[in-house]
Amino acid sequence: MKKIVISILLVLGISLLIFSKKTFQKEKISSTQNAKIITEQILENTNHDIEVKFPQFYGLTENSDKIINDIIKDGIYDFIEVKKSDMILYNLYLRLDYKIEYLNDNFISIAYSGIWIPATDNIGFRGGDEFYTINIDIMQGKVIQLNDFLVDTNKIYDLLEQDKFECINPPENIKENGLFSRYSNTSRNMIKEEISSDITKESNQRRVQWYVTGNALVLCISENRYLHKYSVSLDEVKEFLNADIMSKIKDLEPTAAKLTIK
Amino acid sequence: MVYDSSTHDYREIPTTNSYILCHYGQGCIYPIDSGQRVTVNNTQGSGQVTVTLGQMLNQTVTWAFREVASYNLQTSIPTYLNPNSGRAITQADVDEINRVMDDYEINKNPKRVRHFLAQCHAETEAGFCPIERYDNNPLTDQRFKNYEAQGNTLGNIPNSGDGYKYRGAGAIQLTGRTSYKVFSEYIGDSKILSDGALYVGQNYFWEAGAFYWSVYKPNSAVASVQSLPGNQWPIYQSQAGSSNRFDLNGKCDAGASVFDISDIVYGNANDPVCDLPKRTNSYNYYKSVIN
Repeated sequence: MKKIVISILLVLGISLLIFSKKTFQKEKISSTQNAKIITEQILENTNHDIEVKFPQFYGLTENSDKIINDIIKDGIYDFIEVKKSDMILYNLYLRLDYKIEYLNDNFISIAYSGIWIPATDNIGFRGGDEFYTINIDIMQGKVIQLNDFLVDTNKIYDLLEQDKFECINPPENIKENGLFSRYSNTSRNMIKEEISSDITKESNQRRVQWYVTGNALVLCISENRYLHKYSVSLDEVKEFLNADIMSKIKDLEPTAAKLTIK
Repeated sequence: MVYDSSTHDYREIPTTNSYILCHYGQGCIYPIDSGQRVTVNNTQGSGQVTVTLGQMLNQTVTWAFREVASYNLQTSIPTYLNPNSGRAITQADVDEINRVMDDYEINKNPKRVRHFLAQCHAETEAGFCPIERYDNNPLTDQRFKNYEAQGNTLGNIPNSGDGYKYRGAGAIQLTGRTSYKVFSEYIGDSKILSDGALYVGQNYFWEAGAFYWSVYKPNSAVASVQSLPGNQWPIYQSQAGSSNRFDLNGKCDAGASVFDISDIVYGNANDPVCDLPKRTNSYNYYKSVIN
């Protein structure tokens, strides 16, 4: 009898462990004329929980939904995979949510933002911000890197250094405190190098991320514990951008504005 | 009164925590201590390290302090003397750095001093942020809401306003109700707990940093100390190779890397927001001048 009870408990325990390891919740968020957005929530019920929401599209294109969805899913899972070791090592809890910054029939920009915080036993740690973006050419079914989009990185960097980009989230609401030109020489050099060179770093090690929203290119730069967002009108910098990608963004009206995104 | 050989005049000692450079022995006289210690060649008899204004004034690793003129507890917004720019480091700042490094035993060797200064520089954006920045409104910023989320490990009461009240402040950005409570008791100043980050950023910039470094962080890994009131928390008796994972001075003594120290101070040195290259750059500078 005792053996049977132990066996049942063992089976129950293993089932619970497997079940709690990865739980998927699907939540319908919104739909438009040709797209539906689904949010999947990954929940790993360990001490190092990771909660990430990401979109999946249905009916976005005639036959490439799976490709786009896989790119989105692979992107965020790759991001999480690298983070996992830190989560376990430092006993952290990661939460990420997303916002679709741009969407038309050709192009998607998704920005993920969130936090990592100590799960337990890390007295005095306040955690930090997490940020990750992905930009996708829908027709070609591939991720667009910053270096794909910028054809003249030096010009773009010069404009950044000349404060032609506007900081849209200046600290303490003081415009001057968000000026890129106020970064230290060391920081500016590192950012210039990252913008100018091929991005080969893991996505979670980049200091510069980017997305498109409305009619603007936004460069997102991690500096001094914070994420600063620098925006410039696409029209102002179009001569320094990849014309093919620009045509995919500019020729079609964005539909993101029509979506009701959580 | 002291005789100033450069002006051939007698001068009052500016503050009780100042020191005087010795004209003959290239050392410093500290009037804060009875008996006064005399340092020779920047190194005191018992091995303490003193930093000078010359070492702290540098084009690569600059300091730009914003001073808190006043603050509003209702809005949780500080008013800075100049909100847009910080002032250069002065001799009074250097005096205060030397005082706290002495009081908290950071100046026992150059390794501790280099790491301490490099971390303070990065944590406060070179002194520009004596109080953690807010984005739009401290009362509603998501960042501070996170600090008081259910299950937080900072000792903050969920959804109470503790998140913004006890946000980061001081040279290593003390954060959370628990650390402010211990610091308040340690110093014996109840306003540290009642006014939180705004008061600490205004009045205890360097003291809070040194307290975190030598008292709070290392002792937070010692169960027997955690239950004590703050006035009984000791300066942690560091040892090179100590098993205490938060013994910052001990790790410095054992030759810890900037990554190792940043990992403790920031919490995750792998995170690009930690800005390890900048911390390394500052450390390398201090390594080149503090010997």
